[in-house]
Amino acid sequence: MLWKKFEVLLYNQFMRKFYPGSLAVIAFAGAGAIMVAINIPSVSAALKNAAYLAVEPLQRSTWQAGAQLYAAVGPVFKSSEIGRENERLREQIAKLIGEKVAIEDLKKENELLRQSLHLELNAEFDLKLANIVGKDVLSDILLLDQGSRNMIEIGMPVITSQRGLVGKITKVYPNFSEVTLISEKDFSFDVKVGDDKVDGLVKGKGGFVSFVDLVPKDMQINQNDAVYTSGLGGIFPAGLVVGMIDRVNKNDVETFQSAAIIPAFNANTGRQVFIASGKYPLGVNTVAVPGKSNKNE
Amino acid sequence: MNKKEVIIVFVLGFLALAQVSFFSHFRLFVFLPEYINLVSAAVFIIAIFEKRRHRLAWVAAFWGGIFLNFYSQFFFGFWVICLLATVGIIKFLIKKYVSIPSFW
Repeated sequence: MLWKKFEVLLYNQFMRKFYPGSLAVIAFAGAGAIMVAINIPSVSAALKNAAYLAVEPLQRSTWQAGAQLYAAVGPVFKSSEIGRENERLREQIAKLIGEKVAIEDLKKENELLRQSLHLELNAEFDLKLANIVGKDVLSDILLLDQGSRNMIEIGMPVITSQRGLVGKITKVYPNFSEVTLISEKDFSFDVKVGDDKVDGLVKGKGGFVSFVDLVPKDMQINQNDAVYTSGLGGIFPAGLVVGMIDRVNKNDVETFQSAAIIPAFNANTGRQVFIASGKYPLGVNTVAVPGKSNKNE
Repeated sequence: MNKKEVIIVFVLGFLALAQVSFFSHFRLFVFLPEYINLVSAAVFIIAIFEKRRHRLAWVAAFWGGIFLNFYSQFFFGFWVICLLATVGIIKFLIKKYVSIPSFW
């Protein structure tokens, strides 16, 4: 009964002016066939690539304008967080000053060791600069202006200039590619947390939010601990900075503890990223620990 | 397509572009589900306020859906079907149960 009324309404609203009688059925069948044809992967990829190409200059500049505006006015809406962030940064500066001295010594020692072992100081990654031109309507997926014509392939990690992890290339068009951010729902990968290298699993929540989960409850993780990729699973090379621990959630009921992350890459202000194309050593350690093996973990 | 429909198609195209680039940085409809975006909001408004016998909302739903599909992980046609169904439901409910002034 209800469907009949809806059908009549549809006919009155849309079909009456175009299709007499049973031609409506043929029109629906035709539309279905067109939809199936468009959804053939190569056809939809070509269509999307053509559409992105047509609007890319305008889209890139509007993305950058948005990022600029967010960088300027975004903090105003987060005034409560600024104080907390300021305090955290002060603590970090004090900690980093202490670490800097130690690192200088380690650097000298490392250089000497490299020279003695005749190690090549090759770049760890072949990096391709890409501009962000857009974001998926519902998902944490960004559109980049580098595609298969620039030798971009599915699975390549995407990072920032400070080795911050952005995500992974999941779709490639001739001139564009899509990077799935680590904050995308159901995205997960292994990480290490803090100086003690506590194992954990980063999971995406959507809306540019991700968190560390499955950290054993007896292990100590603290606010401001660095979170970096472990290289396990082969999704990302080891040693890429995922972010910093924000708040630790620990309770007696749960077997594991979890923690919110302040991501190393801010999609709201980001304009350019690097795609790690070509060679990159899966499982390489970025921090040389004197007296310890530097093998893959 | 008449002049009004052509204009609405251009406006929806621009809104889709703005949604996936400029407004990606800001959550416009904080308290609403994520599928409420500039394009779908525009289609809802047209469907609610246009005259019952007009078909602008259908045209807007079709083209708005196509524009959104370009920036979606769902299959091609997903947004078209969603928006057309939404317009159908809105029109049905308005015709059956609601009487509001129309501005179109």
